[in-house]
Amino acid sequence: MQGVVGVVVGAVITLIIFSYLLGDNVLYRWALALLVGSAVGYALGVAIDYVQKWIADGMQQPDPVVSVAYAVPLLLGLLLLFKGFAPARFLGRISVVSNLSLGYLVGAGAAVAVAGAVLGTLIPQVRATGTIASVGPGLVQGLITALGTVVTLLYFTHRSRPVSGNVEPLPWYVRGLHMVGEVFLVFSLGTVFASAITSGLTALVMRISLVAELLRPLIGQ
Amino acid sequence: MLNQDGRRICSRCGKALPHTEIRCPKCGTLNRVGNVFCDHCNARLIQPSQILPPDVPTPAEEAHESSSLKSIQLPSRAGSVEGSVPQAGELPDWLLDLGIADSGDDDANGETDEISGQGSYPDWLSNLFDEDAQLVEEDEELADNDLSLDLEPEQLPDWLIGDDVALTSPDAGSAVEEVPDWLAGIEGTEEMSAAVEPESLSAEIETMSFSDSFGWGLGEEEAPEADVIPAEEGAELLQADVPDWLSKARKFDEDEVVFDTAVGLEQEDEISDQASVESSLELPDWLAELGGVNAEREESLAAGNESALSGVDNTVGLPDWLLSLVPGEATAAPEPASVPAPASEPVAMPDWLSDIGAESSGVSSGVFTKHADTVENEVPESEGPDWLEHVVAEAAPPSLASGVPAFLGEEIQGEPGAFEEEATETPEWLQGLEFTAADALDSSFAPDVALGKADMPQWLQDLRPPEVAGESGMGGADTSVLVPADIPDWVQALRPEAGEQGKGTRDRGRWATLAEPEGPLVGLHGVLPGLALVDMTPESDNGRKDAIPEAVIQQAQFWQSLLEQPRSAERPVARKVRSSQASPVVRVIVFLAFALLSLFAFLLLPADLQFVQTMPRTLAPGAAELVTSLDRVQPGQRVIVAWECALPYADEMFQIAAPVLEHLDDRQAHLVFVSTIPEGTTMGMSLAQQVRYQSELSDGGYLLGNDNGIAAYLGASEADAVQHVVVLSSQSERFRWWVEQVALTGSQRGTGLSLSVAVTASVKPLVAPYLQTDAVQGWIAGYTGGLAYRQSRGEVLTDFHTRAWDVLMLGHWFVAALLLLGMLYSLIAGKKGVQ
Repeated sequence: MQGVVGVVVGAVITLIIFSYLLGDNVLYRWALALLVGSAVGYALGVAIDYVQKWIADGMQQPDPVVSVAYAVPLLLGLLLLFKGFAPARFLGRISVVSNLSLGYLVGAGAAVAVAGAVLGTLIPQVRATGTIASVGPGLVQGLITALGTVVTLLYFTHRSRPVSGNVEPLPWYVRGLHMVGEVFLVFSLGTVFASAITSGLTALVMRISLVAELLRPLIGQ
Repeated sequence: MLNQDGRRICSRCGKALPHTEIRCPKCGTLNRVGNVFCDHCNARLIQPSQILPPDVPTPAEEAHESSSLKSIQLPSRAGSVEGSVPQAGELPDWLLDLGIADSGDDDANGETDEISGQGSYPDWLSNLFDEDAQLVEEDEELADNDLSLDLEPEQLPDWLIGDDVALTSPDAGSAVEEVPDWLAGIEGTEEMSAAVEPESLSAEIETMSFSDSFGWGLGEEEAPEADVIPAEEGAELLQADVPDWLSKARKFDEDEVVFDTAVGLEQEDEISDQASVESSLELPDWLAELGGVNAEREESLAAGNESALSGVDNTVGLPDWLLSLVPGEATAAPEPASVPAPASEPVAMPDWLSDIGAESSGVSSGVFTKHADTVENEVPESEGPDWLEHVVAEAAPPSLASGVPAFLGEEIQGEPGAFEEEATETPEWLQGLEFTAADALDSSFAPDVALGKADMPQWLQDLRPPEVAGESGMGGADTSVLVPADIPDWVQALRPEAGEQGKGTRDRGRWATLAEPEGPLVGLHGVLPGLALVDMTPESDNGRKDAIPEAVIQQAQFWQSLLEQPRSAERPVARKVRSSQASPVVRVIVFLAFALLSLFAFLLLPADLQFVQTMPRTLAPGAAELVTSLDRVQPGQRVIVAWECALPYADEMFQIAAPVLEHLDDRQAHLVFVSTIPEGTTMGMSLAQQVRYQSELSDGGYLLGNDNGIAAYLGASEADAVQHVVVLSSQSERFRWWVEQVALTGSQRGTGLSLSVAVTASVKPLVAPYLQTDAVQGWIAGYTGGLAYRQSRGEVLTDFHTRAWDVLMLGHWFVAALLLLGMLYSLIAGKKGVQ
């Protein structure tokens, strides 16, 4: 019974979402609000539950030093709450203390991100490019990759507009590279668009398959 | 076709569009139409009042509705045409000065105020004070005439009649309520109206002369209740609070001027006694002092003057030009027929005022003691407002000259009800005089202001002398007093056609740039492009404008801007393209077609009919590697499953991740679901329940801090035993976090950390570079990847899988057909298919 209710509710909400085909309407916006509100509410609940568990764990620690270690993140988090007050108010004027938390977040985040980018992105990408370009068929692929990267970057070359009026045309070879870069861009964006369509179609087909499963007994299958 | 604002070429045909430009009022740069701020100096090009819809009047428009300057107008016609009708507004500063009476907080400085006050007035006005004194002496000779000022109610403003009705009507209370607020604030009026007997009121009305009612406008008597102020008190206050010009006028009144009392002052005394002294105490100081003046006059009159005298000199203290504009003066001004008017020489009047005086010499003399039957002969013809001419046309009948004021007699005796209703209305131009408290005025302007500040009516502004306008900051360059005017034909002929492009600044003669005065480029010419003189700003002219008068430059700029704009004031305005009614229908049809096609394929097509003959395994090369990677998972080994899939992609991710979880279940792995999305672990656990995961399963929880949270989790002791991480993601950024942090953790451990990936089809192009690296042991993407994984594991695809695979492929063909049709339609119907 629970599954049937879920399917029915899901089908109704799906139809409401599809009502956007007729234009923006209240039902569609209601469905969006339901989605966003549910996600935000759930996230808030998860965060509160996380903090509660953190506090409970800290209070259950027999070692006071460990308990203090648990309290440090909570204190930093509380300092961040001062950012929510208006600067004109007293709590807003002392919100500068929250910069301590922000500084810690920014510093630690930057360190983690830089280290991860170097070890997880930069070095593996360079290594992979070298591996591809070293072999026979991969050499062609590597050259295409290198060419696509260069001409795509050239396409976004900025030009300054002369004050006198007419813009001096670029050399023919630069314009040719621009065109090649534009072709690469079109293919890249087309690929991304096609992938998005594929994901959307997959979701739609899955929804329709559920409806088909519901209708199958009705048609004797 | 209508193009959007700012377009230089037509979006359909590609031809150049005519465009106008907006000149920055600050730097003179020409900006595109549609720019709110200048591209050069970021100054605001369009004021907020111009952005408002035309039907929403701004406060400035409400105050100067008739004088607002429209877009392209020539100052060929002044606002006097419309301004002849008195309009609401506030008094300008220069007029406020005339009516300002010093407050009584500095009695000791009376003389100082007198001197300084006089010095603060324009010279022409100061001179008029002396002239007025001479006129008063001349008028003194006319004071012995038994002439009363007779006016009809129609000749007076309604507000003035309403005040009297408040005294006479049986329903005096209601009448008082209709008095304007500023007048109702004078509580003495109400108290007196409530206290006075009807009989005595009637008598009082008969005694009220023009000077009693109109004296306020001349700075003399304000209201009858002011008469109850003792003369001594009034005299003291007068020294301090009466403005200088009024003090001068009062001196003449005290010594020589005979107060007008047609019937006698006995009735007035009767009213004054009943009105009580408290009422006068609540009056403004300046008004109470005026009452003191009246008391002195009454005393002098009671002592020796005869009651038959009705000579009034209300003109002292006011310049003649203003006197001629006071409502009712024109009707009250005619000289008596029996007494020859004194030779009033026009002394030192401005030229513009002399013109007026030439037409109405009797008015300029400031004599108010004139017969009503001579009014028609003495009316100024051209300079007065329309309502004044109307008053002149309906002169008071001679029968009212017997003591009853003309403006009160007939209507009160005949139809009191109708008269009350009409008289209590305040004229519009007077309603605009918003009297404010003295303390509310700008202290820097007049620290001891007693009179309210109000705008001068438009008709009065038009008659101001030029020097006064200049002093008030509203000189001749002020275009707010202009009204829309037609552009002459010969100017229209010089302007571009409606569809023609303006010449702009390129065709103008430019001044060569001067040598740089300072800096590293000092002495170099032509560093900056030259500008036409009309385009130069005070900052950019380099002193060249000094040789040309500013007025000439402004005129040139005006003409330049006028000639640059097309003849038609209309410019192409972007209109929101109204979507045709077919668009939603087309969308619905497309959706229904695809939905029905898919449903038909699911339900009615035979199971053995496969549209797609291609094996999914060939489309997902990483599936086999992923299977191989997960085959290395030992029973009971902890495997971190990172669920980084958003809700909209849940259906697709379920089809992708299900075979992976089934494989791990077969391997009896201990799955720990974690996610940087709050709802991620819940969704992952739900999927595990759907696939009936039999092995150990736990919720690792929500990882706060994004990549920091991932790093912290992987570095924690609970993850030490983990050798394998499976990332299920629909977001490229979160996928990158996991790839980077797993690589970082593996390098820190030194033993490596296996990473397997399953992503949605939409994210595959974005994460493809990572899938090609050694950091990823195996990967699948999209529904096809899930099927390829099953095939790689040797599973036989079910009917549902093959049918969904077929429908998905049909959907791709359907979308491809739609794209092709859309492309053909666009090629045939033009760009965007919009007319």
